[in-house]
Amino acid sequence: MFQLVFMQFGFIKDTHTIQGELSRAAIKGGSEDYERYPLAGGGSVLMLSKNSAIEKFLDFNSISRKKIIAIAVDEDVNN
Amino acid sequence: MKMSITKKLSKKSNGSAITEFLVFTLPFFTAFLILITLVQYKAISISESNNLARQVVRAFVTSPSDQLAFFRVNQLLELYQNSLSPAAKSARPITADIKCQSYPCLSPGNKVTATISVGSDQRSSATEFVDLWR
Repeated sequence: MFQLVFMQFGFIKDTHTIQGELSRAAIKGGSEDYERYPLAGGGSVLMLSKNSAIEKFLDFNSISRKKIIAIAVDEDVNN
Repeated sequence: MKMSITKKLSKKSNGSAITEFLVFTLPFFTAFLILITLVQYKAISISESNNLARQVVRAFVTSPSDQLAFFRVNQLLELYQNSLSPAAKSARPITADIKCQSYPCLSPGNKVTATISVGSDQRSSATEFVDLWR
């Protein structure tokens, strides 16, 4: 039960951290591992979809996976 | 009287400790499990809707024209929804609603509010102003 709480809080923490990093990359630029999609009319959308294993403090050789999605708009300087 | 109570207490119980443990703890564990899952679902919905509202309104106010603004919003939401798993997509349908203080929306200094609904009960709004020097 505590393992589940630990995993869920870890997931929420990672979601916020990665979103923050991507938003910063959209403003300042950066070398994050994101994909860039062009937006109609200029600018682009930065997307980060990250699949990874969840950290556990009790592990019975079963890997649980999590998918974190972050999105940020990188506006065109001319708009 | 005192003797009968102590006798009763010291008497061997026929019940199984494991059964008693399960009967008393299982309902609590089940309720706790449901609570944790609901908290997780709500936390994800709040985070998702807050972020999407901010990004949608940003995509809208930085559009070069009114015609493209709504297209940009749909494009953004579609990109996000395409990266979700089919289960998440059906469990948390996302819709956007854009409101402008005056029309046309992209007039200098105009206030634009984007409201994102995630699922049936989670809504978040973000407001931005259109650039005064556009």
